[in-house]
Amino acid sequence: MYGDLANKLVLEAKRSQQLSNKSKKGNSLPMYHEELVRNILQEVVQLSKNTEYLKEQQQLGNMDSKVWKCQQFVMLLCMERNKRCLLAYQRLRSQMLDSLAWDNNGLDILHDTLGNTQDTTDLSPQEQEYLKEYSELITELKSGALTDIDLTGSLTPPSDVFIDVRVLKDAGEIQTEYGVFNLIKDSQFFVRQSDVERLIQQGYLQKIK
Amino acid sequence: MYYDIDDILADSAEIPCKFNYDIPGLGYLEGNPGKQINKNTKIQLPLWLARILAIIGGDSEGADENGDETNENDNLPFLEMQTPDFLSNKVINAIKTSPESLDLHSINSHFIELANKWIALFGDTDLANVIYDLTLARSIELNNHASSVALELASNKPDNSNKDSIYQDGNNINTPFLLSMDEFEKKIYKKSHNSYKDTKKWLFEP
Amino acid sequence: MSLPAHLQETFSPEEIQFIVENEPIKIFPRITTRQLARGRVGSVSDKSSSNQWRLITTDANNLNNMVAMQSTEVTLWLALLLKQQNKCSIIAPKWLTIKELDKSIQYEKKYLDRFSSIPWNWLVLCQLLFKRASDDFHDPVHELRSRIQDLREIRQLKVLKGLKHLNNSHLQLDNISILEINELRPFIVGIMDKLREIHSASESNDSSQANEDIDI
Repeated sequence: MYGDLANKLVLEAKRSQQLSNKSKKGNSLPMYHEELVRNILQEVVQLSKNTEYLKEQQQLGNMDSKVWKCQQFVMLLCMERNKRCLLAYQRLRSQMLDSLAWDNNGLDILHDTLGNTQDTTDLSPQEQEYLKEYSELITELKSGALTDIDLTGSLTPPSDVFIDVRVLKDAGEIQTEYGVFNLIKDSQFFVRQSDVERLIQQGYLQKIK
Repeated sequence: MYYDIDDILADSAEIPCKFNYDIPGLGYLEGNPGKQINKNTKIQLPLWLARILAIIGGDSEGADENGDETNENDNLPFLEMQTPDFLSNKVINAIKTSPESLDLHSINSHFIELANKWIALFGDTDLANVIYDLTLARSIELNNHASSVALELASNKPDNSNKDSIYQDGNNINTPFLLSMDEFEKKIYKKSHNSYKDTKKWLFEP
Repeated sequence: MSLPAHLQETFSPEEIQFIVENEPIKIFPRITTRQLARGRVGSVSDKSSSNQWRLITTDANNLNNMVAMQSTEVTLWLALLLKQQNKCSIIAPKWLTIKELDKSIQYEKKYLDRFSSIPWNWLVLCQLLFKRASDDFHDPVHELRSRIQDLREIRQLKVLKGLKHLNNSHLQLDNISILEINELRPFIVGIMDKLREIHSASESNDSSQANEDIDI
């Protein structure tokens, strides 16, 4: 039945939506269903061929107008349904890529230290391209007139000037505006929040309450 | 809404339909490709298909040509949608008796959205009132579950995803009501539960 | 979306805290910043004391004119900062005493369909003050804390009971504080929206497509 494949695709989309809702750290997209998408597109092409045929038949006067109308409508509705499902699938994935780009744009996108690996082989080549260009757009936005505001920085408003942090990973020497810190695992520092915000975001430090 | 995944899935629900005409060439809808569909046959069709075919029908264009006046039959829509199982009288009665303990998810996973669409198509105010009361009654139960946040002290495991807090969500997700929610209710539950959880965490941070 | 999912529905409590910290509060400074007039010519003027601060987000007048042990009003975040550096002590707001809280609790218990009129930021203020300035209270803090807990629980129950009045057009919530509204927001907005949809679906006889908002 026409539209069944498209339904499968949408169920896949729903599953990836639920997966990303459940996992607390970031989201990594499941594999792009190249095969399924191609099959649906083939179905659409076949349907459009059918409509062409029907149109010819109608012009030749072979068919009862009602019957012809009904058949046309069914084909049209199937095609529109397939289109809607395909578009929704693409849109969901591109939205997830968007939030991936925003979450990680302070850091390296494809693998960051929070352990949120987005396997590039799971994305279709167009999606990889999209991700790259979107991230470039974000970087451009940040470096325009707005260099002073870190748009991808922490979204929690600061409440203390100085905070206690614990080091989670070895990171060698870090130079900050007010001095040099040697980051060794499990050591603690009392530092200015603005300096270390970036390191906290990258996962090297943890704020102690 | 066009792109909303849940809306698309809701549209794929099957509705029993009765055809008003003989239409050759559409046999595949029944599973018999090549045959025609006869008048008065009943088939289960997805909502996205049935919805349009139930509105459009034989035009009055061709009817005027032969000057015949008895052509009212030609102006019927192609098919007629009939009450689906998930909105049958049995279900409606169950809703009226005890809305909160109804297993909505097993009736249909997108029950409330589908009921909404049905109401909009038929302007059925009675059904609307029933669904309204259903939503309200269940939402109170939903809120009870969402607002009872049980926080436990999280252990200091390295894989603890909530690095910033010493509290973890201790809520049991297997209560019968929570398993019986349909998709819309699940969405609301998630959002409101997160909000209650965050507030409580913030209030009890040492 | 650039805004992460957990912030799309409602503010986070930290953001609420940030908003509340902008409100003024009374303090007793322990230092003097006011430039007292120098009388005699030729006296050694202390260069280091001529540091007038200029604040971006708020008026620095109060900060620059502090006289020790004379009460003055500054923004909360400033007060907390000074308190942390031991340069002031915070005066507890008038409603945050055992007597006043008991009165509020009585009111809550008496009128089951209304909320008592305590300030819109009571929860946040209490949380902050108990954490950082607990020694500035006249009354013992644990008593105050338990009163605050009672108040919160009573109000929560009232909200739960009042939810059956949710309808598709309006909701009246007098005297609920900002944090309480914030935590209720996703639920109430979601449900009221659905009720509104049901209501308008039954009233329109056109196809439902025309009435749905396009949400891209």
